[in-house]
Amino acid sequence: MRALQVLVGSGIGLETSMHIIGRGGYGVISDDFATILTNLGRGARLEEELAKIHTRSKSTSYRRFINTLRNNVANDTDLLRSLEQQAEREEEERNEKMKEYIEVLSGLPTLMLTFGMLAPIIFGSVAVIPLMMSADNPFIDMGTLSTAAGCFGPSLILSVIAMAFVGMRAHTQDPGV
Amino acid sequence: MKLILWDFYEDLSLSFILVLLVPIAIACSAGAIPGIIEHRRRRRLEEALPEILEAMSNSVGAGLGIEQALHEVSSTRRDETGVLMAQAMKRAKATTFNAALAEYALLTRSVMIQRVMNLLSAAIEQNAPLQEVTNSMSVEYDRLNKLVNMREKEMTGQSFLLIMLMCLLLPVIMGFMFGAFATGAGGAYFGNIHGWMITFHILASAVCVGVSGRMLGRMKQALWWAPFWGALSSLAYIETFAGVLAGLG
Repeated sequence: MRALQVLVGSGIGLETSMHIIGRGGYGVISDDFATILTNLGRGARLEEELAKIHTRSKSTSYRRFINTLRNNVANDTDLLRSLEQQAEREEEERNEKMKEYIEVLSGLPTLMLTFGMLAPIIFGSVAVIPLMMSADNPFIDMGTLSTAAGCFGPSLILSVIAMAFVGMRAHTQDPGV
Repeated sequence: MKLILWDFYEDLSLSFILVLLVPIAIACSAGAIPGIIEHRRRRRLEEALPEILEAMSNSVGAGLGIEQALHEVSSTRRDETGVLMAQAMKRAKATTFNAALAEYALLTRSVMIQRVMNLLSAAIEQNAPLQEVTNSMSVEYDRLNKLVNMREKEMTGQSFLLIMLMCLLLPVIMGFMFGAFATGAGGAYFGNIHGWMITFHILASAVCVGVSGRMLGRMKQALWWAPFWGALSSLAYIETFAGVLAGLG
């Protein structure tokens, strides 16, 4: 958004700016812009192409950005001012997301340790019991205990999967800085 | 010394996975070092970017051309940025200025710098007001750098804590627990339970190393350390278990 703002602010037209960004380096935005420009070369209209991207996009910020571009093409709005306002808003949101991210992840090590520690303790205790007791103990059914002890390994693997899911927060809430 | 090494080899041979993992861990740890050096180098270059853009903006504002402004930056800086820029400026004499900018961007291997140079080339081509362009980019990248540094500063402690808790503290506690409670049980020592526990520690370490790397925004680089931490946590578990068992007689 800032890049487009710099380009448009430098007096470069929207299509040329899109071409520069479409060369690469901006991830999915570069890919989308490159697709739009290819389709424009085949005779498509810019407004319609932007509308297609708008419909397809899942991110609210990106949809807003594409909508700003579409409004400029359709109604000749002040693109530079809109981009400036939107970029400032996005920047504020990004800073907020960053603070949230730091806050959310501050409890992650202890949470993962709890998972990592509880699973082997609980399942490990069950697994060790048959080894510590004699088979003729009248109070405990050794068959059931042995079956429970047999589940020790798979339950540890499940704990690792659970830990991975807990750790996924580090990925899903990443502010992208 | 010889005895310690012999004991170490003997402990390793108790688990087939560990026998495979230790050489992989040594190789991967060596493979991780260039990544760390490269990351530090790239960050140094990126940190210098707002300063360069500001200096360029000042020089252009003072009436110098963009080539002269860049030449001044390259001659005044003694760090890696200055060296790379001087190299690019030297080449610019034989090629075009835009080619020199592109070469500088490539040499830095930083996406951030490549974006800036791409924008700068476009602005030069279009005869845009370079003082304004470089100044606004300088402000923007300064803010971005501060945010990246904030993330690094806040997350480094958390990521280190995660690794220490999961890869060292957890195996030691588990080794102690199993060593203390499974002492009298015949056939328990390095039986099926330990096979599973070693696998668990290796997998848990890999997950934690991945998560801690993601926290810092460089997961791929962090994953090089996964075999090392996996092997270390398994060894910590085995050694604690053996130590407790020996201590209890």
